[in-house]
Order: sequence, then structure tokens, then C-alpha cells
Amino acid sequence: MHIAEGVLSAPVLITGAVVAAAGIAYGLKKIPANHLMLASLLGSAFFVASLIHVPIGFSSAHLILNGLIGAILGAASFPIIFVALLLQAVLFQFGGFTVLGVNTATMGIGAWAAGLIFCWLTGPATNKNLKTAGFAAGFSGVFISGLLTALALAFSNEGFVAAAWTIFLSNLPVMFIEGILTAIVVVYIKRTDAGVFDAKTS
Amino acid sequence: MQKQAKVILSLLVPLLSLSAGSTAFAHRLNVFAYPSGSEICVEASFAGGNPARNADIKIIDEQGKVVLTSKTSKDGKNCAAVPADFKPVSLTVVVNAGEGHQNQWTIEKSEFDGISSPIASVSPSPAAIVPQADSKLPKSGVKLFSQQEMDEAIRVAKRDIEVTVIAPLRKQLAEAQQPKTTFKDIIGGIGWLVGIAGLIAWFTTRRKQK
Repeated sequence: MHIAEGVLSAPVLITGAVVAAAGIAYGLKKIPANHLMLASLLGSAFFVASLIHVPIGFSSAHLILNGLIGAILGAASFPIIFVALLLQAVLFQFGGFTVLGVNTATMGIGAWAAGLIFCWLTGPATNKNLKTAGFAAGFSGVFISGLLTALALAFSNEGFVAAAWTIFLSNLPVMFIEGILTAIVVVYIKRTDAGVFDAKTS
Repeated sequence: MQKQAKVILSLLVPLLSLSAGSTAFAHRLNVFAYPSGSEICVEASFAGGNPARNADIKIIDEQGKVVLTSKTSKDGKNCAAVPADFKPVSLTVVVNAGEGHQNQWTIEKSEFDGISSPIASVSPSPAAIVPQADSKLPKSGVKLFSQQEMDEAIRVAKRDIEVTVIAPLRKQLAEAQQPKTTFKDIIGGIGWLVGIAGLIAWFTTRRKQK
């Protein structure tokens, strides 16, 4: 779901950069100092996740894990995702520098929204419907980011409906895999170290 | 804090081993193109080797004029003949596989050197030498070729070599130029992320101490 260099027009690139900058500025304030390492390790997970391929008939997609990051970090996901995407662009030539803003915005908003859904379902103490909330976060993270990616592509020659449809179809298995994975992970974290979920609020 | 890091690390390690174990490396569109005879061949695949099917190919020249458009087939490849009036120039091959996946490849002018010009367009060289040579040579069973026939044979041979030997070499060269994701890059990236966090932590604690 990384948009490559040269696909988008300047207005879309600028809009993406502005949204990303706002998200990063807001998110940076939301990273609590005592959860910095946690945030960077989640960033590492995001960085590595897109190397894991899910082979699908006509296309291929990769894990994103932005739902998981959003569930744990909330708005602080923006700067984390930005750094991870930057490193992916430098080291793997995914995406590119001019589209970094757009990619950060689409992935970050997806993560943030997934985090809000997660909080809403689990309640303030993060103790209700953990499995459902985890699945919803993982699923919606990919879904919302996919929708936003399609929106960005709507202004390219591909068109919104066509782009949204192909992205949705090729990422549908990813949504389920991430949903299940996120559910497993949040249940595991809740059992081993529930303090991780304080990262959003503290 | 230490406990949290442990929890996340225990999730990160299986992720890492998964990515290292799979030969499928991520989602970049790799594109390369090379001239083969009077055709231009384009191959597009996602990093990891999955062919990019049914992707749009657009070949444009230096002035931005579209020389050729086509689509990749099931195996992510396509060879299309250049137009009859084609003159060797540097070309940019742009492949768009949808979903925001796009990449390009440049074919240098020098790669076309003479060979890609259609055979018929080569002007026939003067054929006047042959009849004179004819009389000096014994006629028994030796078939003599006219200069024109010889030129034609050489041109065909050159084309054969181009298609069977040089084009595959070009393809290998182009493939070798595609960036590869190595385990080193992955470890390096994680190191950066942890290092940046460490730096920020250091700055914040310094500020607090002051």
C-alpha cells in the first residue's frame, strides 16, 4: 500500500505532507518519555512487517501492523510511522521521499482511528472485549488506510472506485490476518504486562 | 519499562525470523526493459518475484512523446515492436501496476546501436564488385553471393546474436541493478529506530536534570 514516486500530483503530495506534519507534531507530544523504547520497538515491528508477504491469487500484499501500533500508542503512532516509513524508503526503496507525507498520513490516520476504536471497545481501563477490540483495531487499521490510499489515488489517473476496489480486494486477507494477530497480541500483552496500554494515557 | 520492552521484543523476534525466512521481500515494483532486435521488451515484477500482471506500460522519449503503450501479460512481461519510423533515442519506460505501484526504467540511446533499425531500411550497398570477381574464380560448384546477399546475411546474423546473446545479457545486467533488500538493511533499520529513541531519551533526561 505504499504509493510510489511519480504517481501523485503536487496538490495531493502537499496535502499529505501538511496532514502528516500536523499528525507528527501532535503525536510527538503524546509519546510519554517512559514509553519511548516501547514506541521505537513498535516502529521496528512496523518497519519489518511490510517485508512479510501475504501471497494472494492476483496480487500480493504485506502486513502493515498500523492497527496494533494505534491500539497501543494512539496519536503517537504518527511520528513512529513516519520514521519507519522514512527508513523503508532509504533502505528498501519502498515509496519515496516526495510521497512520504502522503504515506505517513494514510498509515497514521489508519493507526489513530484503529486506536480510537480499540479504546472505545475496551473502555478506559482496557479490560473489556479485548479479543473483539484487538480484531477490530487490526482490521480497521488496514481498512481505513486502504480507503485513504484510494482517496489519494483518486486524483491520479486510476480513479477512486477502481483504486479502492483493487486495494480492498488485495488487502482483504491482510485485514483478517492483522485482525487475528492484533487480537492475539493485545490479549498476550494484557496478560503479561498490562502497563503497555498506559502509553496512550500517561 | 524493561518488562514492556521484553514483551514487544518477544513479538518482534518472530516477525523478524518470518521476514528473514521468506524469500518474498516486500512490495516494490521492479521494472526493467531492454531492446531485443526491433522490439522493446519490458518486465515488471514485485520485489519478491511475483510478476506484475496486466500492468500499464508507457514508453516515452526524451521530448515526453509517447512512443508505445502496452500491457504486461500474465508473466509480467511484454515485448512490443517499435514503430516503423523509430529512430534510436533514450527512452523512459514507465510501468504502473495500480494501487500506487509505479516505477520506471531508462533505455539509453547507445543500447539501440544500429541493430534495432528494421532490416529493410538499411540502404543496399553498391553491388558492382561481384561480377568482376566472378570471372577470376573457378566456377565449379562454388556458389557466389552478391555483395547485397552478403550484407543481408550479416545483418540477419547480427540480429540473431542481438536476440539470442546480447538481449539476455542485457536482461541479466538490468536484473542485477535492481535493489535488493538484505538482512543487513533490516537489522540496520531496527538499529536506527532504537538509536533514535535512545537519543530522544538522552535529551529528555538531560533537560530534566537541568
